[in-house]
Amino acid sequence: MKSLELLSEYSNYLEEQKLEGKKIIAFMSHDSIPEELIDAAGFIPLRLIFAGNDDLMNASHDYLPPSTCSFAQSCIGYFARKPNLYKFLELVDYILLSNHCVSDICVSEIISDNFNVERLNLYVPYTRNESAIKYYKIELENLRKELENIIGHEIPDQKIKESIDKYNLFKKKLAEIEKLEISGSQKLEIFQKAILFGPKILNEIEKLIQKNREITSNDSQTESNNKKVIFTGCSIFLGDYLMDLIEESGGEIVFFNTWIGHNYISQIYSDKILNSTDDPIDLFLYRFKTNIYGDHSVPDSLDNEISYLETFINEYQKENGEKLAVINHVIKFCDHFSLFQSTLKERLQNKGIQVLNLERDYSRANRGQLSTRIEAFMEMI
Amino acid sequence: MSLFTDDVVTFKSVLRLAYNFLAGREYLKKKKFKDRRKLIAVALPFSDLVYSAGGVPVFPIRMEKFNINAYLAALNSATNLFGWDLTTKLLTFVRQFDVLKILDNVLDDVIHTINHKYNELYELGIENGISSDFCYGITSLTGMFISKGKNLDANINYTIRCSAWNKYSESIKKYVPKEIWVDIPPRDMGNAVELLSENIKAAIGELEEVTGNLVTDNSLNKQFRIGNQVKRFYKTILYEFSASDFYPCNPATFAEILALLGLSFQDYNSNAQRYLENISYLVKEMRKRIEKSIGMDVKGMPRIMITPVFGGWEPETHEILYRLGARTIYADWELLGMLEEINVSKNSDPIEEYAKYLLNAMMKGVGCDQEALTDSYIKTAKDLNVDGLVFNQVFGCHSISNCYSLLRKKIRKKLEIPTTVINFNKIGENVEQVKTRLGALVEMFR
Amino acid sequence: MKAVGLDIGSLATKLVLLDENKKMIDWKVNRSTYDFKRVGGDLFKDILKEHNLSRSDVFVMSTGYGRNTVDFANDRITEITAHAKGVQYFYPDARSVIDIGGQDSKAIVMSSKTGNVIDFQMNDKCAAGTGRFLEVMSHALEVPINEIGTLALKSNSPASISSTCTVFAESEVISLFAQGSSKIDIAAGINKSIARRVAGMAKRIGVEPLLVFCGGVAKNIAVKEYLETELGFEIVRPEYPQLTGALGAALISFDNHK
Repeated sequence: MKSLELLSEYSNYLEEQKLEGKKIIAFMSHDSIPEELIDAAGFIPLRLIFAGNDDLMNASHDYLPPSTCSFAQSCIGYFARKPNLYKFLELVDYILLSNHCVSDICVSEIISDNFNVERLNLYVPYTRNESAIKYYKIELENLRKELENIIGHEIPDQKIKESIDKYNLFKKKLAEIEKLEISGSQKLEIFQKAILFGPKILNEIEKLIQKNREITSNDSQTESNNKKVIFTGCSIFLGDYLMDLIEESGGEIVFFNTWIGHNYISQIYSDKILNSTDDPIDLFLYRFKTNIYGDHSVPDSLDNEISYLETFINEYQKENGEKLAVINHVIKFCDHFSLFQSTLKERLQNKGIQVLNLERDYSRANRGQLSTRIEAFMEMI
Repeated sequence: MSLFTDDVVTFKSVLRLAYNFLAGREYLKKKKFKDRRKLIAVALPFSDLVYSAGGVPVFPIRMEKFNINAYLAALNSATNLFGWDLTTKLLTFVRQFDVLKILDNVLDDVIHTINHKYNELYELGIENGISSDFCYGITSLTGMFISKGKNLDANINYTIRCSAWNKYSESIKKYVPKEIWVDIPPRDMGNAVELLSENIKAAIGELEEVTGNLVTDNSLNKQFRIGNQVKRFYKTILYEFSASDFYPCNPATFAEILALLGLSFQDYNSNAQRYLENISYLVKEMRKRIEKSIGMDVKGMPRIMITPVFGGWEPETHEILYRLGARTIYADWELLGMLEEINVSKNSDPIEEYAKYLLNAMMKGVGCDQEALTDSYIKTAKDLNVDGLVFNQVFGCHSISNCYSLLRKKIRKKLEIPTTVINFNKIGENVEQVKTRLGALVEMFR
Repeated sequence: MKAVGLDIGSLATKLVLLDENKKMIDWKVNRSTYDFKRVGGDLFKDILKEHNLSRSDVFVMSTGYGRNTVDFANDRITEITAHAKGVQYFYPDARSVIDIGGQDSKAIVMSSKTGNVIDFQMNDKCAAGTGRFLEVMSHALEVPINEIGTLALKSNSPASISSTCTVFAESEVISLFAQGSSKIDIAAGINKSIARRVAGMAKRIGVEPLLVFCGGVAKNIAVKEYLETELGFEIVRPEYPQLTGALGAALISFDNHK
């Protein structure tokens, strides 16, 4: 499904939900936002996963200097311009500020201060030590209270647990998508849709997996000449042309080591963990504690990412006989990925893994050069 | 050109502060190799724990060799022979005959020399793969670690609101043998002091391991007392002298001294007791000069606060303002809550008190939201009674720099003082813009 | 079969014709203008006519910024791979390339065993460190672009241009004039500034001798000298530094049609 259709479908979905009296909570952050809690409270969680363009970035300059992350600029731009396909942003009731990065804080503040959207807050510690976990717990409890105040009643533990189960099952299904023999762009479309709609599209995902299995078992496998790569760094957001450039250049992404991709899907609870507690907050804490390679955490996020990539590449080589190269996607002015790009490249290259650091913003003028970089990388590998 | 030699030649305390900053390399070598002390890097004014653990805190640029090292060596020999009093007298005398250029070279100029080094280290950061999109402060700090990080025994990091800062802190671990973290809770949800105290305790444990010394309540309180006195003197300079109609020197030199204090306050030039003596003497000297009418009548010259400058700024700024007929105030540490005192009363728990100090600084400064941060700007501008505010918007800064549009609105609404923004990317790069904007700002006072 | 390499850069379009023995028998350069397709097509028609060739007598490989506009090409390749191949025609031992073109600057490292590209780096979107930067600066200096290099080498004390941004640098040049700096010293500062930026990028990927300097800016002798100073070793420049991309493309087209 192409992004235009997806946006239109999503817009209809949100309108229906609003008519049913549901409220929408938007947020930019990634891995430490308890979407299950938001869902259990009866809200619609809306992750801002929309790619930008020149117009949107320019629109943000009334609020932020142009040397701000292009994605953050674009998020402001969406609220300032409300382009036709994104009219649904007018339906947003709350913005959930988190400190995934400082741009997340600034953007959420600006949206709430300037576009008539109320703000909720959820700050997340950087380390994963015991006091960090205690602190995160208090933040979660505070968010729960804030949501309860809005809806006017308590959110029962059982309801949160059910939501956790629902999302967990959904993520397990998505993990199967990762293994399907479909193109990178097809996988990405599914991940993007999954992150927008959540478990509501579980049936659709199941059917897709089934259908694909049937096709695969009927077809004799054909070897593709495409260059196989892992995609890491910043996610590819909805409406971005980057995926087209990669595939047009003969690249095939076999693994998305990004938030829209494996990082989201990998946050699955085992049955043992799920059954180990009746307190759903404990489950959120467990996820927080074990998510050590999320880019927000310190002090070892880079080491963990490198070691994860290396292991994946080695295992893939054992299974498929091919050595994967890495595209490290860095959205210009991204604090997290930009600072590490040269070290990541150096360390992976020392292990014999080829890396393309693809730093870019969303401007149209960038497209030609971006294409040259990707094509040259494909020629190189 | 910034520090005015004629002004400072008789300013012993400034000369000492400058000397101790610039001659850090020799001092640190002695501490490391002769005294077997551990060198622990700090940035931002977070040196108290290191002192309490018997370590030597180092703002890493001070491990560098500055261009004026030869002169510093000469100055050092002279002070060893004659002491500071006689040396400055002698230098004043000698300068009259223009025979010896020692002092001119030392002071002509201190901040320029430091900033020249900053630029070099910035380039080193870029050469080693830091994207030129990153702010000047982080890039040059990375350069400092690339250049001399291997001489350190550890580095202490504090998490703040700025994600680039936190990730930079992670990234430098490849240049230092050990990293110690203090994760400061992003806001106070009721238990922040307790949790931060736990984190401080853990950091102290690691510091003890590195230095081999025990940290006691006494050692903490001793350091806090020194720090509190330093802060009091710092505030006297900011609130009393900078508001005075008569300055102990010309306003550009005064701003230069504030800049030097801003830089050196981060590690107290690696010797807190000596720093306290110097700043105490600085205050005395300033007062004496004012009493004797040595200096400059600055009545009628508008007072402009330039901020933030701790992440890098154009050092020509205060001289440009001086030539335009205005005074410059640098007061970052006050604005960011770093000049608050730490409670050292008899029954207090020093770790808890330090946690409260850090949290307070975070809630009004580098850890808080835009609303609180801009309120801190407004409060400091009010408290210091400045006539104008110049916001130094650093390219690539995604934290404080993003506050400007909100700050401008608040200034217009609550303070009604002239304000402007200057853009900074790298020293020397944008002087013309600075001149034009400051010119227009000063014209508003006419 | 003969081969044509067509390198459509942002400022100049270059064409190279190789005979069956991979010998360069002719070449052409023209300004790209906004109509990449027409300029490339015209050069191609001219070369066929001058050598009595028809389209079917040649393989055509396009490269450069406008490579995708060449609808008569058999294939296309990026200028990164093309330059790497092209420089090895003149310098078989070449290990690195610096190519400064109108829009981009690139540093390329080749394998000592295979000659293939093993790493590369390009400038970001910003024009600093590109031919465009020189063009803007030569305009500010009122010196023709092809004279700015020779002028620079007359300087004994190059002005310091610290701006990495073209826009800031232009205003820095104007302020240097205002402070009384000479045109010669400013020209030297401008060339040094490009060299410093590109050398920084090149060092990050570990360029090493033998390094070939190509692209339009390689014709500027001052940039070459300053690059050598910044890198700390001598670099070489082919007789026609603008042509290595087109040449490499033509050579690769032979390889592809073996």
